[in-house]
Amino acid sequence: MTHHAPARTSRSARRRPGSMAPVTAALAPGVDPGWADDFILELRMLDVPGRAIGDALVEVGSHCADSGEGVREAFGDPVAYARTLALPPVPVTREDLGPVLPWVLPGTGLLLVSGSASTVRTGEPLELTSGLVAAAVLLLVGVAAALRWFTPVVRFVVQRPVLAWAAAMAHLGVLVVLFLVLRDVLVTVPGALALTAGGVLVVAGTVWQLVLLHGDVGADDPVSATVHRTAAATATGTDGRGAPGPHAGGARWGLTALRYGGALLVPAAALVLVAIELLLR
Amino acid sequence: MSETSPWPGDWLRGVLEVCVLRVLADGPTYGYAIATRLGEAGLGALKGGTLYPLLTRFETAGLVAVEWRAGEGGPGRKYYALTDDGRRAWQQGAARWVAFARLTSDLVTSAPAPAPARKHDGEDGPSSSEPHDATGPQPVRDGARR
Repeated sequence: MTHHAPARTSRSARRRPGSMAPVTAALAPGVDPGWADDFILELRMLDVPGRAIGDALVEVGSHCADSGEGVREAFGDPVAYARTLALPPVPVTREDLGPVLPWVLPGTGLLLVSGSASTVRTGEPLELTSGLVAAAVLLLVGVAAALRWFTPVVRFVVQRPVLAWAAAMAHLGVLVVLFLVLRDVLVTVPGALALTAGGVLVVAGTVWQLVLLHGDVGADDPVSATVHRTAAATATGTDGRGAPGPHAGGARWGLTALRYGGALLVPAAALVLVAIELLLR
Repeated sequence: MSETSPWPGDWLRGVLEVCVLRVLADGPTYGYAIATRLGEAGLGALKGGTLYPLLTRFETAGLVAVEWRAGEGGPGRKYYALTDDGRRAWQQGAARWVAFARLTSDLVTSAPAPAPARKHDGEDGPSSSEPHDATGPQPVRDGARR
């Protein structure tokens, strides 16, 4: 770089959590990571697919490398540039997010396990109250709404994190209040039966998720797609355009952990709950 | 972000599309090379923030096909090649631009008509032939005074 961009630093130059700086360093070395973070995020929120985002970033990097200009000097404000690029959007659909049922199953199972783990110790049956059912329905509605309006929700969380956190906490608060206030018992279930049903749901849902995750590389997810290409570029010394190389090594291990780790959280939590009850016995 | 160009931005905005299409008519090339070529042609330094949105529009409209090629040691480069539609767009755009430029050139360089006797309108007398120009805007006269 022979020139320097004006000293106006990007709001994200202060390395926000989830910065894509390593990706920027791999795809567009020499481009200010803060500028790139804002650029990537804005394109993502415009529903631009991951591959197109990566391409746009590489092009910015190669233009800066060729011209010797700073990125802000050549391209101006990252958000404005992302918008004028007018890349064709591909809205995230329900299908892109994966089926909901494999998540609902182990989630419900975990609720059952957490509710019935102690009843196994005390010998009391599990009482399903109307508050519990109402809370479960409201939780499902909340999750469904977040999936239905995925991109606006992401934009809201990114732009107003504190407000988004407050909203999530308020939602959770309503669930807890419903659970505490509506105490009339709808159904009484033997504890062992509830625990067994919960365990079956957790295992079935987790297996289902793992199978789905195994078949889906998430090729167009902005994060994993770029990391895949970066891993490929690192391994093969190419520009990262091709398929992941065979020797991408450590990056691939990290990806595998990222990919399957989420699905294993619910069974792990269920095991911990049951283990605690067994220890208390 | 200001373009360092000897020409007004409004003019460039009008002609840039067909100029870029013309550069691409020489064969597939990448963004910075296009900017360099236009600069050498005298259009001034074109910023990436102006050029790439235009190329993206071409790509979306099917006027160019893109291909990634590895850069020499550096990052990959995105090459743009005119499609048949792009070639037609260049030829039509160039023909229309020529007609437009001829029309505007003729207009702005045409000799002012002799003034109908006016009391006082300056020595070089750029008075118009239009009969009702006493109060209205006179854009053509302004343009013709060089």
